[in-house]
Amino acid sequence: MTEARSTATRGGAIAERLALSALDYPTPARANRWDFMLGALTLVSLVVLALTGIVLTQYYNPAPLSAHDSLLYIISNSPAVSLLRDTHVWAASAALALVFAHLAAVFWRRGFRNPREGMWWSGVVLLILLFGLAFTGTALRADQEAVEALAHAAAGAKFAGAAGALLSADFTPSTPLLSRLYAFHVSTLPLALIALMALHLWLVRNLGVSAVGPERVRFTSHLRLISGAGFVLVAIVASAALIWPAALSAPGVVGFEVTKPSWPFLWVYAAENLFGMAGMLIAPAVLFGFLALVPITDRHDGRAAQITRVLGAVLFVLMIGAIIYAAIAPGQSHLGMDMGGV
Amino acid sequence: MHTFRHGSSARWMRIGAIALIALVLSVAVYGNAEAHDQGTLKLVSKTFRAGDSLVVLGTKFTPDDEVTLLLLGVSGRITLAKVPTDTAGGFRRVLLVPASVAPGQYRLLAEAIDGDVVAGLDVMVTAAAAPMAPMAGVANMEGMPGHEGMATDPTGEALSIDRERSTAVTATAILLIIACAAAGAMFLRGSHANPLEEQS
Ligand code: HEM
Repeated sequence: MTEARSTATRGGAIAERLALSALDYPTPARANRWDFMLGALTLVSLVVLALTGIVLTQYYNPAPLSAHDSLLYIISNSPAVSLLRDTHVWAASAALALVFAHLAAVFWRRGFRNPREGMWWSGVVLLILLFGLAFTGTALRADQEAVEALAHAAAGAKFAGAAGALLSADFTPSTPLLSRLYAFHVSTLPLALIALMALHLWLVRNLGVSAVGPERVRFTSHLRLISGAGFVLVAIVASAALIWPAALSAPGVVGFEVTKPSWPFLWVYAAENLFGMAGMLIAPAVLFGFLALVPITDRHDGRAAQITRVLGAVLFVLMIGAIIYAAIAPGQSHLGMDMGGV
Repeated sequence: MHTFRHGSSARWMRIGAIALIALVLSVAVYGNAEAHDQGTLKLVSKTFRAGDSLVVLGTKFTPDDEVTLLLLGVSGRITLAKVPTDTAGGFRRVLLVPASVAPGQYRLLAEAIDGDVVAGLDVMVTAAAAPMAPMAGVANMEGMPGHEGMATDPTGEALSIDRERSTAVTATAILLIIACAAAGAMFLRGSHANPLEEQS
């Protein structure tokens, strides 16, 4: 209590009123290393996404025939919003790259073991939500890649039967599919993400991270490091946006397959090259099925744990390999659509 | 955890069984509602004027059936025509869009005889006798790059759009980036200069 008061006094009156001394709890010194900062850096990317996204909602028009035009308008008439859009797109890539790095680091250090299974499973759902956001975001562009992404999703949704009805253009005659995807992108998915993130961070705070070693440091020192790395990340993302603006292709024409998806989806595309349409369901089922099982199969040291670790490493390498392969392989039609002379 | 499993496993199994039955029933009901073939509607252009005639192509509908074509949007529900499908489930029909239809976004729908929606397409109706306004609702877009040769060959190539640049925006962005990088460096250096303190 005396110590808390002294810290608050050190931070000043505002810090005292905001109860910032609550951040001064002890954490393992080992948690100050980079592999324990990846989750927080993912969070920083998400904050950038939220802030830039809020501005974009005021300029983007989610009506099917106006969506592409509103993006053209932003790019060609509004330099500030255009730069925010570029930052939004780059921050999305950063969030996905960082969340995978976070997942890989946690997997390797076995941070999911008792009592942290809930952290892992809430993380798996967060990953699914992030993919959902990336997918709906792509569809909002209403360009050729967007139309093809939707055609793939609709085909997958048909496989999924009743569960896929939400991705069907005929779900309701009152609202077009694009407008419903917009609602998912700006409301349903972010709300679910915030709820899940609250659970994830609650568990991190109350169960602690798995860093070992007797040495303890103040959490504020960790916060300082994360803030430093976070600012550098924002600078990198914004610089990338300034140098390489986000692309937009011509308005989508339905019934053609002439594009490849953006990099986070290329491993699924590779699976479609190999297994046809079924690959679109097989690849995510294998990845998420494996991730869901990890805390069950790797509970204690032993054979099952070893197999899980090897399988995880193989899957990781396969995924990176599949992304590279799909990026360089010639385009293929998976829905039996016209390839536009390709 | 132990007591929970022993004490109520039968109850949980019952609840599971009921949930399963409910799921099977709802899938069955959904499947039943899907009794019609889902067709596809095609138009030469998805933007047309009120008062114009419109060529609608339909494919993959239930063969030898009848569908009602209608517009649903700001003017409410406007029935355009009842169209019979051929033996292959297709049709081609020229329709007149009433001049009284208010401009705006609509869904062009095909309904089966029992009212099930079997196809839908987003369309835009522009004002009667007004010039085509594909960008209606967005001001200041005439001659905007990216619209030349639109709706020709599909392509994933990035459009070469003349990006509006502003020295003020770019300079502000560069300043903010430098400020962020500097703040980052300061925090990172600070945490090195101030070696990890031991909590009492
Ligand atoms: C929106 C995405 C996510 C955010 C913002 C996030 C945030 C965080 C933060 C801040 C931590 C604290 C320490 C650290 O960074 O290592 C953490 C820990 C953890 N996260 Fe995440 N995370 C996300 C996604 C995931 C995913 C996809 C998984 C795995 C499937 C996951 C599993 C875990 C686990 C198990 C821990 C505890 C690690 C340990 O104690 O070693 N998280 N997360």
